[in-house]
Amino acid sequence: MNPFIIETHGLSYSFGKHQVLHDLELRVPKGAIFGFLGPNGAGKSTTIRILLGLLPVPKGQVRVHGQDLTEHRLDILRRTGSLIEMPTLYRHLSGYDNLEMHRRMVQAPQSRIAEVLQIVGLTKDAPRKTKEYSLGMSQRLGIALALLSEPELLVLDEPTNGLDPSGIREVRELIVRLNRDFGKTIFLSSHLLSEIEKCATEVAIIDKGTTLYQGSLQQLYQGTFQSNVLQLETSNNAIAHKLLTDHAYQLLPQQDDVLAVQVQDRQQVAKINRFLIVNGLEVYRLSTHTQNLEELFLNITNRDSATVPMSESTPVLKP
Amino acid sequence: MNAATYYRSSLSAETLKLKNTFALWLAILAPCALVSMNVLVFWSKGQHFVTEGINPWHRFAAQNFGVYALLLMPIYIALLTSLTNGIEHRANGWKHLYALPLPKSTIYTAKATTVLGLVLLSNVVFVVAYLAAGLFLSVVRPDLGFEVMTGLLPVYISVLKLFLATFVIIALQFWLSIRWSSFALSMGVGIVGIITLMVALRWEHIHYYPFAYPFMAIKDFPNETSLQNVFGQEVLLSLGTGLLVFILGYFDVSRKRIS
Repeated sequence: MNPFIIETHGLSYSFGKHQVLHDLELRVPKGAIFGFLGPNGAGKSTTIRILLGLLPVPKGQVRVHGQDLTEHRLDILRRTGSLIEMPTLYRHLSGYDNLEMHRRMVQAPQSRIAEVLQIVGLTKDAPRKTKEYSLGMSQRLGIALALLSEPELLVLDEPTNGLDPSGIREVRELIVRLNRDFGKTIFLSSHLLSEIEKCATEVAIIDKGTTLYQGSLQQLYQGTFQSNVLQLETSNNAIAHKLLTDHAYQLLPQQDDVLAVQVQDRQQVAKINRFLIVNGLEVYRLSTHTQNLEELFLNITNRDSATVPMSESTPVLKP
Repeated sequence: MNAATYYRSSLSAETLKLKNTFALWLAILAPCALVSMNVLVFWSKGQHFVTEGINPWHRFAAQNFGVYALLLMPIYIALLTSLTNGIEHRANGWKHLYALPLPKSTIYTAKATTVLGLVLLSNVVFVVAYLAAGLFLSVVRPDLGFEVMTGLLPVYISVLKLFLATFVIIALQFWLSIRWSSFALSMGVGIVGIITLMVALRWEHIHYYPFAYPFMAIKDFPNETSLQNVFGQEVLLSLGTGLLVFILGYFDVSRKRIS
């Protein structure tokens, strides 16, 4: 049994002379919410269009549901639902008619319409014309359209693009529910890390058409969070610096009036605090800084720029 | 699933798509508008048109045919195709359609059938409106002689010929509007088609010019002998070149990359 629902091998694609994808390798495990990350212009949309058979596969191999895409396009599409950026809604028709039209084309049973309306929570709004729909509702109707044929795989290209925070949340919760309750594999592309971070189980990060990272989100975190940094401000940084080095703490290059110490865990933060106070110093600020996915992402996709923006996260203690 | 099932499901979806659209209303209203204007003409000035020995039904049909074949058809087909395919361009629907488990040829054929169906519908509406208008005139202008309903067969045959002769224009406009989203392009081609036709109407080779086929189809109305042959030169040319344009159009459209 093939554990991967989407596999690409050495996938390359170019628009004229401009090469968009270079030997892209993707392995999307069944049952995952697969976050497909990359900055704008990284080749995400091109990849998705190839996966859906909208663009030809010029070089390399693409297998979806274990079948070769060039030979079994229709079989694959029958088991795949998609939403590419903005959903295709016929604005002069009601939500129900949009679903009905799509239903006829994918030959789903009539009863399926009520089911998908229920899933996306649009039962009440189905008789309204879709031009009256909010962006979030349109997006949910788009997902309902993709669900009509009961696909095992959902390919969603930037589904939260342009939505307000509550719309983003609606769509995100829907995605998680589809995966958890209905066992759908979801291939989710985004340039918003915060989005992917909150629901994906697996991620691939691509830039300039090549895969930079692929694996579980946990692994990615483990690789990042080993370097926690504690930032300190005290009444006398020079003494604090000396005290800490004497006690074998690892100090990082100092900037301005802030001391930066490498710490392993939260307990150590408390220990340092107590230690400094016992030694007669006033501690004005203690804050930990962890590199979050955002920075990691920038780090991975933009290796040339050495400086990673430091963000002040959760102050541990303020005296 | 076989090709016929694909086609049926695709076509039924296309017809639903036309619900509440201007394209559908246009197909019904355009012929009605033309006929009702000519009703006004006959109502007020009928005596100048229907002279001794002339079948008023034929005279009234000829009055409608002229504008219908020369002006209305090319413009109307341009409007209709660009409105129908415009539904897809506006909704950004091509990517969605082609990512469905349907063969591209099915989608293309179903759309073309819809457009052909709309043109056919308006021709049927035209005939119905024509009959209704004649009956109405028999009431308001009994002196014109509309109460004797004779010689209607040539009218029906002419409408059929007219429809078949527009096939090439439909195929051309269908390709233009599926390929490019511009409404102006379709209309522009339609208008240029009409103007060149008007200018070159007396040219000896005009019968080869696609925009002239509908005109050629009704030119000899109500001359019975020329009407006996439904598949005259202009109809065969229209069907032949229309089919060619239609097939070439498909190859062009299916090659297009969807982005």
